Amino acid sequence: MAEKIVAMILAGGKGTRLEALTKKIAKPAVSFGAKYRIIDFPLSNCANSGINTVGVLMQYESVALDQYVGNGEKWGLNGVRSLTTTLTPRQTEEGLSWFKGTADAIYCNLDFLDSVDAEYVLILSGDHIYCTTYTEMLKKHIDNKADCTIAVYNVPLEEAPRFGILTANEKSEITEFHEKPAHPNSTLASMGIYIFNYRVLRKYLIRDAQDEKSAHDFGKNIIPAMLEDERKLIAYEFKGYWKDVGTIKSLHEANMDLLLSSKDTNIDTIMNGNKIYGEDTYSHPQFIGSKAVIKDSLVNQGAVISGNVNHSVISNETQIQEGAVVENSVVMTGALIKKGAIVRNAVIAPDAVVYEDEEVSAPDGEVVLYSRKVKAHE
Amino acid sequence: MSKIIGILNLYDSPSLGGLTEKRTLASTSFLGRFAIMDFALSNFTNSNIDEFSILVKENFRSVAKHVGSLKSWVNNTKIGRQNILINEKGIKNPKVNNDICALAENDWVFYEARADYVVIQPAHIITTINLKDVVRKHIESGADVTVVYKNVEDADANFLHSNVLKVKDGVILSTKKNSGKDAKATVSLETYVFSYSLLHNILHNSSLSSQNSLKKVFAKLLKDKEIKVFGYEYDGYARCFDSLNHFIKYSLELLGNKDIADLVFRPDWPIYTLSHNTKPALYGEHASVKKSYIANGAVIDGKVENSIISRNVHIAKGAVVKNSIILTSSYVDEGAHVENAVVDKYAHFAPRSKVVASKEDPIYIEQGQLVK
Repeated sequence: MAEKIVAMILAGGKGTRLEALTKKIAKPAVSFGAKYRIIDFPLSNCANSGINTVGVLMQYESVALDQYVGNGEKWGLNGVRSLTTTLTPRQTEEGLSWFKGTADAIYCNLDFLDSVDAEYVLILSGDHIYCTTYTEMLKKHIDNKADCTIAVYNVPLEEAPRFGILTANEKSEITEFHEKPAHPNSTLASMGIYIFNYRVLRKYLIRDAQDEKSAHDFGKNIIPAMLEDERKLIAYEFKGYWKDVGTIKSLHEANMDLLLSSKDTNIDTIMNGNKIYGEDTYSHPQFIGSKAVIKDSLVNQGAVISGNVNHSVISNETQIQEGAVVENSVVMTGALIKKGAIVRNAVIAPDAVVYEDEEVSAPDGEVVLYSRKVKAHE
Repeated sequence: MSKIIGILNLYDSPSLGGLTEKRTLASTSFLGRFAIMDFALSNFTNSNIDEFSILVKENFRSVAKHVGSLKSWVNNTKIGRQNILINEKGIKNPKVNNDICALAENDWVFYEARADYVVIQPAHIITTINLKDVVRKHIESGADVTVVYKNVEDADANFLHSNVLKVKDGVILSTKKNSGKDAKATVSLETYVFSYSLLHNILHNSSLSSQNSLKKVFAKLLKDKEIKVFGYEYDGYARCFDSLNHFIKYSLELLGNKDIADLVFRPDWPIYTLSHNTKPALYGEHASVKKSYIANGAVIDGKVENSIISRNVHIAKGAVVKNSIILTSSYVDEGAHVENAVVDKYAHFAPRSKVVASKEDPIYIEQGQLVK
């Protein structure tokens, strides 16, 4: 890309609905798909789009996430013309200020955007699973001479009240925008992915920061303000797999979407020809033991499987011992499922231990999160 | 602190049949995700030796492709240097294409490093040895050369490419080629620590450097008895990859024997390798897999037993793979049957094709071969 586009990934949220999974790490650092973490998706999408300058905005439990993101090397974003940087709340002459909202997080880092001479700013969320490049979206933004382009996704009408819903005319120009409307008049949902002309965005962020009544949120404040001023806002419809993994249930479901038996998708259709980069652990290849049964599953290197695994997603350095049964479950990094244990319809947190003959299961259609760890002295 | 540099010596690598026709033994795939040389390189990394060179005899391409800038095996990416060394004189004149001449030809490495000690490892003997310990003992003992050895009880069937040593009270008395007659033997792991001043003298002393291999120089040094050559006993995992059959044996033995596998994969001794960012392995609803190593990127919907399946290999529904090693990106189509085979990269078994060899006489399938 010849245009100077800078990606800003909003990765500061706690992800309260992911319960114990986000007790000590931010949601974007939660593991996904046996080998990845959620934030690998937006970062890989940036890499695959040729976007070389990326700011990752962190707030909640930033240490582990910052350690993971590092200098962007895992996504190749550390080349001679690349820059990956972590942006956390900081102490300034005015004191310490936490990010008060999505827009405020960007406002607090205008100096960074100034310093890298941004022409366009791509705002991304750190907790969505989807594989794409942003090339076409940027082209549409430039071709339409837009001030802002919003990626939209066609959702079922009954789900529309959960999203920011917008209406666009035949020229893709956005005419209306309502945050979480009770009675939606459209099914075009904002994905929380925006491209702004930086000069325009800068003005609106400064104006918003001075408004004491503002929630400092893109969906609630910035977009409505731009619409009111009759700025040119364009909708870009995204087609393909896209999932917000905000709850244990949706995280489990998105993992299952990767399997070959799932109805409309699998890991190849979801990746859609793009590679997802991330941490490649220095593990031995996965080992399947002589009494193991393994079907319809996705398994990362370093796993040792001696039990019975069906319709599951198994991360690295896990052990599933003889006689254990794992079904329709997600087993995260380092978890240990001991002999004879039963794990069904579950998400097993990293380093958790399911003891011998113990059962961790939920009724079909529900999902249970299990996170008990072995005590340090054991 | 004394300065240590490492040399990974790819000269003296035995043939692994078809596998090493177009590539070095060092860059040959092992256990589905490693190259054989990853183990020696990781010994440098885990021993904190960040300055090392690979001495390549032939098939440079396969080495360069795997190691890239060599940064995958380095602790600090700024400190230290990593090089691929070739013997340019040796390309023109095969007579001087040996490891001693190659080291002399690349003596700039030693000048630049100002090394006190040089650790030389071969690629074809896999160990997980702490080289820092070997160097420490070398310094403490006041030796000029220290050689690593292992006492084994199966030298009649293994280590056939290696030398056996006579050791008394830690002093090496003599060396000769393993005749394969005795099961009990002290085998050389061909890992040496040289004090640099001695190595410098060897490379610039024509009576020594005219010996056409490091092995022979070592033998001559022992015979002349002018220097102190001590031994370092190692009792961890060691296998000498000296034939296609041994390659298969040493690969598949790890599937059935957890004790051996635990010696190779120690939590404190990671094996570093080139990352390909491959997706995890996918198993289909018809998969049946037992006693096998499966690399990421594999897609398995057939039956796999006692086998090693590398990156991006497909085993389709109804296919059977037994006692075999299948290298990267090969495809075993529906209903095909492969038994006791080593299948090189990009091979394709057509639907219902059959290649069944005996355990004693396994078959090698060439890179890219279409089996109908």
